[in-house]
Amino acid sequence: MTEREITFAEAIREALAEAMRRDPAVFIMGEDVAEAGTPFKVLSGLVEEFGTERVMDTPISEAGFTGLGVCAAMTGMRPVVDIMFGDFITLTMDQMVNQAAKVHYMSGGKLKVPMVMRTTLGASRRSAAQHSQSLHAWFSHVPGLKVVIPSTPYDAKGLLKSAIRDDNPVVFFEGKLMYRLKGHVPAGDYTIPLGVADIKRAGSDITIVATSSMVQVALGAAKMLDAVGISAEVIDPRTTFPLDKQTLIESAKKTSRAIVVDEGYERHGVTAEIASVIADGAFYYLDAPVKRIGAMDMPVPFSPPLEDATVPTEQGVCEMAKTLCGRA
Amino acid sequence: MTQRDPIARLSEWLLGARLTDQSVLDRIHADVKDEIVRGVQFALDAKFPDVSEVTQHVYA
Repeated sequence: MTEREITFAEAIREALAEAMRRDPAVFIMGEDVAEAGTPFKVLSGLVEEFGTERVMDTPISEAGFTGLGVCAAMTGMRPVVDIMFGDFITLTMDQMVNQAAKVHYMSGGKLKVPMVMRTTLGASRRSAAQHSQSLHAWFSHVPGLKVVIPSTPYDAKGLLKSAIRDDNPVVFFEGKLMYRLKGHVPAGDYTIPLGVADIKRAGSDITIVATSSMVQVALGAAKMLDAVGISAEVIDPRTTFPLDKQTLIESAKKTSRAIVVDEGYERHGVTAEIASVIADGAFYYLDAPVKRIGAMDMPVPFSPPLEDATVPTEQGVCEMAKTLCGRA
Repeated sequence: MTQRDPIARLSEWLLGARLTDQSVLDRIHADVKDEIVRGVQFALDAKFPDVSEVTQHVYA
């Protein structure tokens, strides 16, 4: 039997449909989620199956409908709130950071917020500075929230189902350029636990930790490195919180070198946290400083050549790996 | 333009209140359209910026 291949967008849609068939408390709301199926057509067909009471178009008010989601979750529903562009999470910050993340704690464990916020990250679509950011580090900073950043259709489906079943608020970031990425996804029911990293490619000379959109970049760099005799291991944490520190540290101990690649802004970003975990946990095994590559600390430009200059590339990762391996 | 388009509604209101006449509105429309067409053409004709410009204008 041939392996079933579907796109990242289809994997997300399947995860939502399966979750909604399994649990009547699960529903979707957001801007243009029903008939329009979102600008990326991720949700196409769901409103036909589940109706407008479970796939609800909202007014253009992220703060308002995120608040509705938090309250619905507190009163027994399992909302999946769709924030069209990751840049718009700025509008949801009070509801997510001061309400969703704090309710369980401040009610002494009596209340919970089993809600998922789905949103996007990633540049390279010529969408300019307000529609291209990767802001997953912001939510990763906040105790009480979990953050998922899948890189393959298989991971996206299994992690989204786990996120919906989780009793905590979970923010789920989808790389915009990955929606058309195809990959093997079994037809049967499966979930992937939050907080377990995945080795996307085994190697022995250098560890490249990559997240979300950057996993494909890291795999491309690993192929280039292979051609010059450097064996790169690519590790995908899959969630920034919970963070699978052990897998990251074990890989760095094995290879003695590590680069962390993430599409968020480099300064104070996900790469800084992960590099610190590796530097601390694998210190006595490292032969080189742990290096980081994030997006350039600039608003993402519209202009194609400028935008391309701000995002980490296979070539850039490859060059840094060669330097760390003394092969530059 | 739809019935709820604020430009159409303002035009209608101005005409109704006899604050302007159609020839003035037509001239404004023509001027704006001309400015847009010239702007688009300027952008299409321009070279892409040099990559060295990438760090400009973040801080004043």
